[in-house]
Amino acid sequence: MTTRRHFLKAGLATAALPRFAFAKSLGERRFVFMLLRGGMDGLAAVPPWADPDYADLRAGLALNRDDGAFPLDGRFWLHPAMPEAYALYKAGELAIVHASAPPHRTRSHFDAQNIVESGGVRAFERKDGWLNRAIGAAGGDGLAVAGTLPLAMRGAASVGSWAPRRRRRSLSETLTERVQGMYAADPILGPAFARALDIQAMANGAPGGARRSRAFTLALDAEVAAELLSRPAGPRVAMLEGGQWDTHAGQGARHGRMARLLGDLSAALGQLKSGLGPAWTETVVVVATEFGRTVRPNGANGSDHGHGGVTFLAGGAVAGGKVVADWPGLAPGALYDGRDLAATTDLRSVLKGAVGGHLRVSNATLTRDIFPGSVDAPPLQDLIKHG
Amino acid sequence: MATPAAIALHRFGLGAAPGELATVARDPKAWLWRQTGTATPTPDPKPLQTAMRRFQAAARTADISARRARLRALFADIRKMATPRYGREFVGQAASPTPFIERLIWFWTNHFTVSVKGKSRVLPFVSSYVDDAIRPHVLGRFADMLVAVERHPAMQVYLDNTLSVGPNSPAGKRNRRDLNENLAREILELHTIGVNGGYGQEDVIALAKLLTGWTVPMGPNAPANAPPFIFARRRHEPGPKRIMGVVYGDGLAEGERALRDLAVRRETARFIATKLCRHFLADEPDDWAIGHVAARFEETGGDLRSVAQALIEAMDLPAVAKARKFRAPAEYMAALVRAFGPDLAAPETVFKTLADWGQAPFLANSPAGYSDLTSDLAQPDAILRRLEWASATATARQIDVHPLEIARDVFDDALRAQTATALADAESPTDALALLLVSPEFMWR
Repeated sequence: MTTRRHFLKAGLATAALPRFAFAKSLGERRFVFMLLRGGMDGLAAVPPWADPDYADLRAGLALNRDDGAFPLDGRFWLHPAMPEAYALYKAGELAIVHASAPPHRTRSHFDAQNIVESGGVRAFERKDGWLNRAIGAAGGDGLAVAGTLPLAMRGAASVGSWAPRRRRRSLSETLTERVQGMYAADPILGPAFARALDIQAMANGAPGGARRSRAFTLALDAEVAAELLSRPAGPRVAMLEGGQWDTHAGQGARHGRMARLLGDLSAALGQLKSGLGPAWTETVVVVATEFGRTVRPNGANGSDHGHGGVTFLAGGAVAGGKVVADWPGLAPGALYDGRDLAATTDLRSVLKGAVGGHLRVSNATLTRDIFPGSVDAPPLQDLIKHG
Repeated sequence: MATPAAIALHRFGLGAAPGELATVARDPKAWLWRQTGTATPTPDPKPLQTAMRRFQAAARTADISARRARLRALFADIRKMATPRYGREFVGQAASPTPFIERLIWFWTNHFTVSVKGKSRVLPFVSSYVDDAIRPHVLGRFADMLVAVERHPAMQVYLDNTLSVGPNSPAGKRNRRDLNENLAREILELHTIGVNGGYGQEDVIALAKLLTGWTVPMGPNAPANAPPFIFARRRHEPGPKRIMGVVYGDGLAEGERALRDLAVRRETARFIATKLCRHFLADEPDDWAIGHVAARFEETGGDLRSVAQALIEAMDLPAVAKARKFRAPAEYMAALVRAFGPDLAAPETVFKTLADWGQAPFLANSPAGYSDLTSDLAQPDAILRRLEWASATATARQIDVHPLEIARDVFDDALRAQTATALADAESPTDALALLLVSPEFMWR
């Protein structure tokens, strides 16, 4: 209590962080999970131009040859709205896993996100998330840059959520202490409020904490996350959430909604790199979504809920500069349900490869505790440099 | 353990006014039951027609940039008017003599979520949505509510049905337009039989086809007196459509028939009963309660008055008394307004405050609406935001009666010792009021 009082008075004191003082075994390693809610269109982000069926099927959603897409490996290109991501790719710090999907067949956002976040096999079978279990296994402290704690971060391990906002009204120390006393006997309110004070105190000095723009906020959230993650005694694991990826209408190609979303994502990756500074070399960022989208456009220059999509891995610790894809092709017989990109890589294999390699969690723990029921999804190898 | 009166007022209603607990304690069940006899208003078509006229007047120009500017101005004007109006209505609802019915209306409004987030074009139709489609049917037939909701321009635009065109319809063939599955999918997944209701992708597509032509005349060439909802036959996909084993033909009436069939299915009864029990009884409701409410839904063909009464019948279960629900932002604000009176929150601030607490009205991120589960609501940041608001509100308020007295009037025997001590020991009346505003008694229902 004395520590907290002193800490609140000081406003910001990196040396006296009460909860984040013991990053058990992660050392300098950082891990960021970014969930793009709504279903990111992987075929728009990383177009497979070499596929003979791509241009015809995608029609108005396909980029043109003169749109300035970034060439990757002769099979795939990167959307031109993503220059920061391309710079990472060129520096060997971005790997792309194409035709990947979580282990589900659902086209429901809510079920699919639940499966991605819980790390389970069926929706709503678990109440805790794989990222929380990973923190439990690897150590470190977790922070979600979000209004409420996302499922992936919920569970037994110590985590918190914090949302940047324009201005935090100042609270008197005596009032917050009285509130703590009043909540002491409440098993939910007591711990939640203690957590809130810790997180707020730590975030008070973060530069991005003061602002939050209206439309796309991933880059701003990334700025805050990078600031907090870069602190010596700060959290080691963070989760960010992006929304508005459910592009049923007006998706666009070179320009439009999808291009703006991808630009925000790219800027967010750039923010993480610049904000983390030297810590970037020991960082892995995984960007995933709940499903890809239909190959063909719908009637509204948009796309509907599909299946296979794209997963990004960024960071100085990523063995990048490559697209990992057992490409199923877009020929009529190859499409999932005759309409979607088939998935040839289980998202859990990607996550297990990243968590196992970077957070140094054993395969047995990954399969038993973090992603139960994933025996048939072995970790994807060679995603992490020193793994 | 919550008393029956506390369950009636807090879990089923919108909180307690000073002294109300003692009154309701005489017969909590009868107090709730009486409310289910409330007469519901017949819908007034005029506000929606007026909104439509205003939209069409602004949209009627061939010049795209002029159209965009005029619509932007219209939307700004609607927003400016809507926020204080929402606040005034909210404060009125919080003090309602039939709070259980208001809560049911909130429940159904969230069940059939429409949102203007990223979709300004929904905005003109949102203000009258609840009065048009929800309120008239809250004690009527679920099927009638379903049809009213799905036809409503707010839902039509929100879930993209206005963009959906049958590929083999005259309009589809001429302009090479195609289906948009969004509305059809959410009707099955969220509005009726639920995600585990046993439908497949082919049912989604068939329902999407059947709903082609249901649209809102929003284009620059819409006729001056076009009604807010129309059936555009030239966009309607011809041919038989098989949905959940039933074959439907062409036309508006067939679409309505499909909705009415979905509305009375056993899966729908189960899905709705589960959501109702989770909302009104406990985060993890008792199986008996769900079965009881679902059976009533099924027996009565979705008569929502009978369903509400079945919920009341389930309030005696020991599991209900043992459970507690964390108040969602609007419920929390309503409980405070009911206890402290309408001047606690100025109408023009209500919307903004609810937004700050994470559940701005008609701004949900997804058609699933806002969560009502403790695990989603009782988050560190959410509690801190309530405290920040409470602190500012207490600072700005003239305090004539000690907050401890108000607490005793509102919560009676249920006031916890820790809360009473905290209020009594507070450094100032302002701090005591702030503490009462965020007390566990107000946070939980």
